[in-house]
Amino acid sequence: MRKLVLLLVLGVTISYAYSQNRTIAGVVTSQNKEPLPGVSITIPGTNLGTVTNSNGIFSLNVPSSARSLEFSYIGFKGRTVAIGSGNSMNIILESGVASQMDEIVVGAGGISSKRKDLGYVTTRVDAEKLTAGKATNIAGALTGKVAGLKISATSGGVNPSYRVVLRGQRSITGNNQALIILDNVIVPNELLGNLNPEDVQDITVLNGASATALYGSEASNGALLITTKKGSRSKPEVRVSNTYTIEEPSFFPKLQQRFGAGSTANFPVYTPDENQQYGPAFDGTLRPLGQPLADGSIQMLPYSPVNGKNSFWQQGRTNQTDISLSGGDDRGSMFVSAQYIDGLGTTPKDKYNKSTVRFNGTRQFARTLGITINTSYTQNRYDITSQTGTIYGELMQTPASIQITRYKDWKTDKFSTPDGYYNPFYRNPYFLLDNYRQYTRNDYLTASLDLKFAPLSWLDFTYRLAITTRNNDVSTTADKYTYSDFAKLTTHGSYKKTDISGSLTESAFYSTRLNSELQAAIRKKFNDFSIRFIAAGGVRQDQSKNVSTSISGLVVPGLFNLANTLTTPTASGDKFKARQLGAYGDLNIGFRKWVNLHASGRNDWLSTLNPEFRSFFYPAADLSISPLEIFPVLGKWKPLSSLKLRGGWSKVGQVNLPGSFGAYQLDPTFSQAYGYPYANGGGYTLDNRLVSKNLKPEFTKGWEAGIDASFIDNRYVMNLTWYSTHTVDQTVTASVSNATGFSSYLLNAAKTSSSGIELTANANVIRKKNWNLNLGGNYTYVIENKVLAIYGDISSISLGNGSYAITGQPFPVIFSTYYKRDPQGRVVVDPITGYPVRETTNKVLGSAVPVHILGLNFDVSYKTLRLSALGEYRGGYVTYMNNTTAFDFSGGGLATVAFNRERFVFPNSSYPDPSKPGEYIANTNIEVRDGGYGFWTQSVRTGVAENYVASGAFWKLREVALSYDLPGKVLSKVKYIKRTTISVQGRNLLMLLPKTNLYTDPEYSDNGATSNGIGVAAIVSSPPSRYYGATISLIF
Amino acid sequence: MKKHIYILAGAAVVFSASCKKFLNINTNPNDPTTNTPELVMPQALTGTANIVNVDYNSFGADLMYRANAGGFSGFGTVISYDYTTGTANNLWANTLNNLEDYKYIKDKTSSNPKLVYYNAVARIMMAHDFQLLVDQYNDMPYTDALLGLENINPKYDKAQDIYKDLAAQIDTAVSLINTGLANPLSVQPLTTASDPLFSQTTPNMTLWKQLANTIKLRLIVRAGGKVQFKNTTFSSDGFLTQDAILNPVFVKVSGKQNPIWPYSVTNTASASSRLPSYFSLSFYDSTKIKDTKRGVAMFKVFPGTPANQLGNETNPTPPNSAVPNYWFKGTSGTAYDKAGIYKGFDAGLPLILAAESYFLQAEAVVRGYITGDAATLFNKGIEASFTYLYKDNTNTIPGTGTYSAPVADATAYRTTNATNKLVNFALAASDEEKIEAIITQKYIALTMIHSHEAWNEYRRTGYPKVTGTGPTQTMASTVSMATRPDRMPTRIPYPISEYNTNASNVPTGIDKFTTLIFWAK
Repeated sequence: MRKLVLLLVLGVTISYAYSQNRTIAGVVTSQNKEPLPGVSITIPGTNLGTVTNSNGIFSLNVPSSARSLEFSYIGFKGRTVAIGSGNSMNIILESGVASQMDEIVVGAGGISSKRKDLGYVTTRVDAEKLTAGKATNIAGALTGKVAGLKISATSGGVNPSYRVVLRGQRSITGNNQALIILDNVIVPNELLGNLNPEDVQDITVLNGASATALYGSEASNGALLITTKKGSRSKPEVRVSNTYTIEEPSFFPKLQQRFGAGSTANFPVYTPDENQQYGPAFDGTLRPLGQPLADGSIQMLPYSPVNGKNSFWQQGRTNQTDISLSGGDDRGSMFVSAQYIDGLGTTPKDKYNKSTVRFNGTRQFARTLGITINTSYTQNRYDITSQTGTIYGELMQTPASIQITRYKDWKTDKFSTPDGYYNPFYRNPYFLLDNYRQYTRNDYLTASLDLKFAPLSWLDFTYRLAITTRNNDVSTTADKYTYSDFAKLTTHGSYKKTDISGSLTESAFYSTRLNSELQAAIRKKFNDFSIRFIAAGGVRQDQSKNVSTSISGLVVPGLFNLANTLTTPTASGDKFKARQLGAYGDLNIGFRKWVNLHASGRNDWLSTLNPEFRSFFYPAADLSISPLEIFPVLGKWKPLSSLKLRGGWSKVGQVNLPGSFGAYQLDPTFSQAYGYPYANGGGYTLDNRLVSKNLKPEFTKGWEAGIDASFIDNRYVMNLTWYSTHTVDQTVTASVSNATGFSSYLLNAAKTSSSGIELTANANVIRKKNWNLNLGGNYTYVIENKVLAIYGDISSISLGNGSYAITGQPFPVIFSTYYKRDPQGRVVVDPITGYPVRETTNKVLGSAVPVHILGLNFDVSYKTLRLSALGEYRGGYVTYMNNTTAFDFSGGGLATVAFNRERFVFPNSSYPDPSKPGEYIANTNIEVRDGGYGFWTQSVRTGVAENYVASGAFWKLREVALSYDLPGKVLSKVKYIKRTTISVQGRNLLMLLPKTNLYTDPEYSDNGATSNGIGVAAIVSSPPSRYYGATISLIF
Repeated sequence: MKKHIYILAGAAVVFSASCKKFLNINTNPNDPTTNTPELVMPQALTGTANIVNVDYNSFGADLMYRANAGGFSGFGTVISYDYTTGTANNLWANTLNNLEDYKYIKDKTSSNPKLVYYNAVARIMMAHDFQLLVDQYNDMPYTDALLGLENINPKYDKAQDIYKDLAAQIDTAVSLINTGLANPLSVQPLTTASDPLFSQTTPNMTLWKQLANTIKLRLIVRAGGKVQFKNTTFSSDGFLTQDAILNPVFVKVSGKQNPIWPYSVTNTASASSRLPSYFSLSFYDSTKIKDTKRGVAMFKVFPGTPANQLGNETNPTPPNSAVPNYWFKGTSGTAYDKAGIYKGFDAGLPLILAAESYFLQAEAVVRGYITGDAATLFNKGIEASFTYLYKDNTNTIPGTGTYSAPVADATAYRTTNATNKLVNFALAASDEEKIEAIITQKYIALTMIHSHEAWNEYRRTGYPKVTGTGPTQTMASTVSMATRPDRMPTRIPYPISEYNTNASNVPTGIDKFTTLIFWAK
């Protein structure tokens, strides 16, 4: 890295040369000759620029190297005007929507191009669209807004995790999440949840690898390019806003309200202290609950349902305050912002806060030297229970006759204490809340510096240095609790017999990424050809370290310090470092305005691979054609405003080694096992993983083709894209027979392919002086997303909890247990017990990949009153509710009363014909031996995964927002307020699920946000929520 | 121009060299990537002891000795025997994983005569581990096994052929040890660090040879004439006369305690979901045999220890378990008897009991495989069982108290049950009755210690006898789905992982109720 800095300094010294400059002045007006104030004027390729004053007048110091000025203004078509020989320019801007084709898109490497020149699809989401719903997380704010982009909230809680995937999953075990580029720098994915959405200028989504190949070996997954605000060149502007949001659980698992506590087979018997709900039907009589306490008292409760479980979850509240200051002059700009978010979750006592500060600045030091600095610091703090999943599970083991909120006071109320709680098998959730806590601290710092040196009008250099660092520590605490002797001796169950000795785990972690890149760009025109060539090289280093120490057995209760222990603390730690070098070239050739050809090539060198395989090259190319320019005759057809045909091909290498940055994966390791080391010495075991000696990167080859068109004065816009990718030589950790002495094998083998269609359409249906109505939609259709091969005999890879990659199947699929069926598809039952028969093997129970994703949005405005809404549909896939067996086991689930707990004939079943082997007789009369406990809690029901697989389809109303700018009259009294906006907004207001899904939001993933094993939703996170809130914002 | 080229070329060389240096940072700072047989062996031996005492024993205990307790549910295949390819996969995976460590030791030492003892130990322990697996799965990969990348789809060998080679490997190991003993100066002895089994005080290769002989005897007795062994003789070192107990110096630190110890390092414990079975207790409580002394050493509140029959979940509601369980002789993690099964957090783990060695010898004499006096060996087996149960955490008999006189108590036991042919060997008239007495006594001696061996012997011999379906008549579950007359399963299926990763080799059509291990009845 030092070398590069040196090189840069050298370059600067040698080629720095003054060039002559002059001042250009003029007036910008509308077609009606009205002067336009606040029009932004920039010199392309520099940070130089200005804005018009209240009379539409501007004056700008222009270096001789500048060839044109760009004028842009909201509600008017932007213009790029060549600088002539004169010193004055009077510009007329045309009102209306700018042609999408002329929009400037900043792509990979910070290279900006006009949209019409791009051979691949890009989607830009601006700040207004992004923050309409006031989501605190950028991923949440983007959901449903871009074709081909699938964002799933994989958990609930105070700061939900999101999985962000473009164009489906390619890599079986590697990362499939979109690359996150913040101000031209690759940052870790987790940063997405810790940026302030209010700081974002816009987000450009690059769906395919042709667009992103320059970003290097992670680019096969597409990218989100986030550009933060830089401040305008107008007068200083201060913006203050406050948003208050209420969060409410929006969906609970469907529960039965008919039967109370009991756990006997064949005939229901009321058991006062039973958690399972296979007792008699509710009858309203007064019955005892739990076991008598030491003082002989026992609770008496009406035996009737109160639906008291769901009231455990509370209303969450979030208060968000934003302040920002921006301003600038013709030499630079500045943007400073701060945000503070303070929230309470839907799980009682869960607290969360997040503070963000940002400083962005640009400065043109000299006509040839400009600098941009972006810095952001975020800290978040969580104070939550570590037991949300457990609590959810234990709530489910609560009969419907119990009002759970009655047990809040676990410290003093005798029926609520851990000793006196009625349920001997599952603990009081309020006790769990208090006794098991987790305190998390995260600090993120991102900073980047762009130095741009443009010695000649056709040549510039950019040097970019960036750091992203995360600092984290987590304390997980459990206080001690000693059960009374009475509880220990008399309780029927087990947990009260064991004292809680208390524990503390302290873990700390840091991760730092450094990027350094030098880029040289040449832009030249030769007659009809315009040429741009960029050459660049860079380094990246990732480094992390974590340590963790635990104690168990607290001496003093409630004191969580590592020294407060009776036992020896245990400790562990790891550190990782990886480096990467990259060099690339990027060539763009335009011929007239007809065609644009773009080609790039990149070579990477990675420290994590063996020297002979660490260097790899990959190219990409794309082409765009503008038929309207080539055949002017087409332009005569009035409705057509613009038309572009585009196509691209790319090949991207990706190193998908497991572990932190993929470091140290090549050599098998030895680890101590079975308690080693002991006093007598150490003892090591061989790694269970085999590693291929020739591990290489995996390559994704992709094609895409599309058409962009707009009609009737650009009011109707349509983009259609077809894509196809093929990923080969995938690095996978395949299972191997244990008889090899090992259990897994890391090698290059698997192949996947995916293809689909992405469609975006937008209609500006009404465009009047006061009225504006936009209708839009984006649709993604997955033609195929398939595993073509894995390796040799190995045809499946488990991605966790029943989600699998299986050769010849969609990726991933749910693969698990099922009932035996006869050739007619009827479930085979045992002719004696009437119970269905389980197969001993697993089968594919459905694809976890949504085939259809549809986002629909509309916004309508009358003067400054604006209403917008966004809905999303996903369908054509299944979800496996893998731990919902607990609903059947406990008898709390609605499914268990489908036959009124009476004996029933298993629907659509048959049994073997005793006289004709291989044939089956339709079962019309053999009832299951027990229609209650004996069936629903047993493996004939709970051991069969197909019972818990349901359609994953949903419709969600993602966002609704209504905003209003207060009329000028109101404001005239308070002079210094320029604008006041009030808005109300809601997110995830509605969720429509098919009847077969009784349990939860199919977006949830039991395997976590980073796992490719999607399609497994569990009841381990707090329930899905809806949010609604109000915002007031003032601009000074 | 030329000068420029030189400068450029020079710069390129410097750059590419420093580039290499810049990228060569893949040395693992967290875990070793190389190791030595001396450091792998102690872990492998401790691993074997863990697998035997935790994985295999608890699997066998559910089949042979214990039943579900009240307050728990969801026993599934434990009580139905409806085994799937997901049942007890840990047996397969953990044993093969352990075998790979021995394979490493064997390979690393095969061309190093200095480490001949390490090579011999690896061979003995591989024979031990492979027998564990063959006894559960029958045919399995052997000649192709443990080869890593050299063969990732290992073919299956016939169980009998594996047995045959295991005995041959033991012969090789014994002769290797003898070579070492003949040249003591040119070989590296085992140490307390590398051998936590027999070298806890001083290296002892005779015990290793006795262990080797005992394992070979177990192979031959179990094969029951169905395997043509190359050599059925034994070295003059004889068989184990003491319990083979491994102790790497267990301490009261999380993860470093005796792995069967039921209390945490903070002395907390949960109640077990299991109770003694009536069938198991019937060999102590006078139903079949009166054995108060061992009953007291084994069970909490004996006689009158709460019990259940496997499979009964409701009628009558089974009693709850004690904390931690009814085999624990004590009241807390700090107040306990240091006897029976749970002798302490620091007690060693038995690999093979002396009692098993004696009962194997007694059977081998009855069957004519070796010469000796079956009755003496039978009685020694009973004495060894008393002795093991009475021994404390330091592997010694206490000088005073309830557990101070195992031999006398064993003698008294024989007197008390003088008319019982399961105890008084002289009353066993036929060879079959002798075998029944031997295997029944072995069943008692192995109770909750090496339960899987009792399960193996039951499948091979049918003892202890199942006489009906009542709680003391059978160990079988009341809700057994087994189709055999004894309502017991015969084996577990191969694990699902084999069907997923080695489908072209793993046998199909395995039935948990009808497919037999080659030596089974």
